[in-house]
Amino acid sequence: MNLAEVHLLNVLLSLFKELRKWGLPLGVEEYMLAVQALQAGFGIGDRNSLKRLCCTLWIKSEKEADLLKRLLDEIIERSPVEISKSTSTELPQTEGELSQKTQPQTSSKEPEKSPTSSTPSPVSEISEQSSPLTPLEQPEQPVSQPTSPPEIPLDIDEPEQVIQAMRQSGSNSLEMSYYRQNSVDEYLPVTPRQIKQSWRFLRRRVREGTLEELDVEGTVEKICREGVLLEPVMMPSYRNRAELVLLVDQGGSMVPFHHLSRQLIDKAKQDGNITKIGVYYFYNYPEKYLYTDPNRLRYQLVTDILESIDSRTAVLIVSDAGAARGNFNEDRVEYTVKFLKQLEQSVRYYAWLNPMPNDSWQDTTAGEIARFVPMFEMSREGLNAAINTLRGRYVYWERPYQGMVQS
Amino acid sequence: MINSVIPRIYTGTKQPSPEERERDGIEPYYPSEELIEAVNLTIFLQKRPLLLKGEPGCGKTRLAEAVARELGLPYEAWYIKSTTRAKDGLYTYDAVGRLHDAQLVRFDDEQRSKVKKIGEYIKLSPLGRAFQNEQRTVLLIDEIDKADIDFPNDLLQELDEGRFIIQETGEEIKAKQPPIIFITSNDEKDLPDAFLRRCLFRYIEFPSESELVKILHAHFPNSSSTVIDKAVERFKNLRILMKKDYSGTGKKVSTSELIDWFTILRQHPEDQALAKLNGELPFAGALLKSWKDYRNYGSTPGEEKK
Repeated sequence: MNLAEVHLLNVLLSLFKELRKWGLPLGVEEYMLAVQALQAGFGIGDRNSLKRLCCTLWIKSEKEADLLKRLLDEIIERSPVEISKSTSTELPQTEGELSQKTQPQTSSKEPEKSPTSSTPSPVSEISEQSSPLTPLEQPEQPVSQPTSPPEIPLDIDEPEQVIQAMRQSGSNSLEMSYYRQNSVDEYLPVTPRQIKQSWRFLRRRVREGTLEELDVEGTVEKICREGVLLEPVMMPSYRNRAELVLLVDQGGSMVPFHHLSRQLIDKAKQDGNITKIGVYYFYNYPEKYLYTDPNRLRYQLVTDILESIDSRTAVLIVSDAGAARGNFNEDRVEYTVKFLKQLEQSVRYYAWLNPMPNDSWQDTTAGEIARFVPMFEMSREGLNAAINTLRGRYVYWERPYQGMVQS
Repeated sequence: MINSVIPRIYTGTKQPSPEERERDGIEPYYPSEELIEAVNLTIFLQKRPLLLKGEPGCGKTRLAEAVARELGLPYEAWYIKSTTRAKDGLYTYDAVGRLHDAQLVRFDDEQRSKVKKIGEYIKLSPLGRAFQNEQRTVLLIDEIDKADIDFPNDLLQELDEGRFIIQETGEEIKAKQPPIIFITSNDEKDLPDAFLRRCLFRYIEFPSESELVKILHAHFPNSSSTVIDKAVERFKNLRILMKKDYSGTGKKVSTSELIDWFTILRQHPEDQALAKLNGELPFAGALLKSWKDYRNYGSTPGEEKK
């Protein structure tokens, strides 16, 4: 193995780790595939061919491809490329091994800093000074060129505002899936990928459409009646018929969570599992009208909306219910409860998703409202519980002060 | 640009001869270098399907057939519908037919032996046939996003291990050669992560202007290049306008529509066609598929509109 190869593998490994940090579901198998392909000659050449190879192997959407390209550029630019130097000092093997060991560690220590880091580490200084010709160098771009402000794809990036609003030691409230072992993700209440996975559970299977399946019972029944089988009885197969209405609190104390609620809406729409989805907005609490756009310009009567939806439609309310402000607002409770009573009469399944963690609800408006509606915090468990509630499953939810007040 | 070390099994250079085009209606296909590389990677790695995404009409579906033709391999296509289940791609068991035959046994002794052989009622479907073929088969799974969201997950084991069991007979169908699988998706639904993890991915970019000219030349070898250049230019301008107005959403004109449009255009003599191209967008119906588009782009020549 020559030095160029060691360097290439270093870059590959760093990129692999970095991508895993961003929550891409990559495993050892995927890494080995890349190595295998490299051995066959794929991705050898300039930086672009390596990019193409990694994109083909590890990336499943255009947005992720942008992320990969940016990360790869960063890694190549900050990696200790010392090929020309080390060959002159005639210590290629140790040098290469060293960099293989140290490089991934440094990158894993400060993952968030690296894109914007203003103080360059000594390593990158060396690389800038020597600026050697590596096989990965991009022909049209000098190596020392500062990375352009990273344009982070919305889908993958996690918003800072939300991070601040979440509890810090979130590890116990977050389901640890196999690729989540890093600090970037841990603050987050729920990642877009998890939202997507959770929405898949919202389904209501109904037999409809053309006759496709054999109705065994019906056929036996018919044979018994007629003595001989003339024609089997067919029935339609199952389809998903899940309908969803999202009521989203927009503006005010919800501003930090707009990104989160948008993710929730987008993922529900993309999912394809939900046949009909309506999104309405309100400010603090739903009154007589609900808005049909996030800027709250067009509105519709609540009664009209409730009339138009099927009673089996799942209604999910997304609001902090006053928990973000942390005070107690009697009006807000009163209006919200009034709305909930109205809602209760038209739909069977409804739930409330609160972006604030549930230990912050106590003694606030949210705590009071939570007595009237299944309210869940926006963690992975919370989201799953909310969706289970919408499916009509029994879900235990904590009703604060249940003992004290008779409801 | 592309390194020559890469095993280039598929080169994308073999195009159908005029006779083939006449006889079988096979159209030429020009993949980009990046796409060729991805195809070769798929062939090399053997067990991973290549997932193709891209704008409608950019040639996702046609790639599989082009690869099969160039490599001289058998070709199977499995077109997914909203009701398709994973099992449908492996085999179908005509239980009702068998039941029907069983009813006739008492009148017809010949039926008796047939009814006893359950294999008579089992027919292999595209994936099953691809597994059974002695030759490596090119398999297209078209528009996988149309099916139920669980559909891709139901295929995982079959694709991973290259085998499946026919439940009714207990017979195991094992892939004699790993098929080269192409999967297309229009991104109407997100595919499950477990499935995505097992796929290679390539987004088919929209062809550049020179590639479009090349494609038109290949499809219409007898047309004059002035008309082709002019048509591509007009088409490109329309596309840029649409891109600007829609800012990434909505349907833009596609390569396949360009070909349709040019088919009509070339019915006219060269001077007439050129004159038409300079005026209002001719035969706009082939390109603009909604009233809004028609109103916005149909009347004025593309370049002059702001």
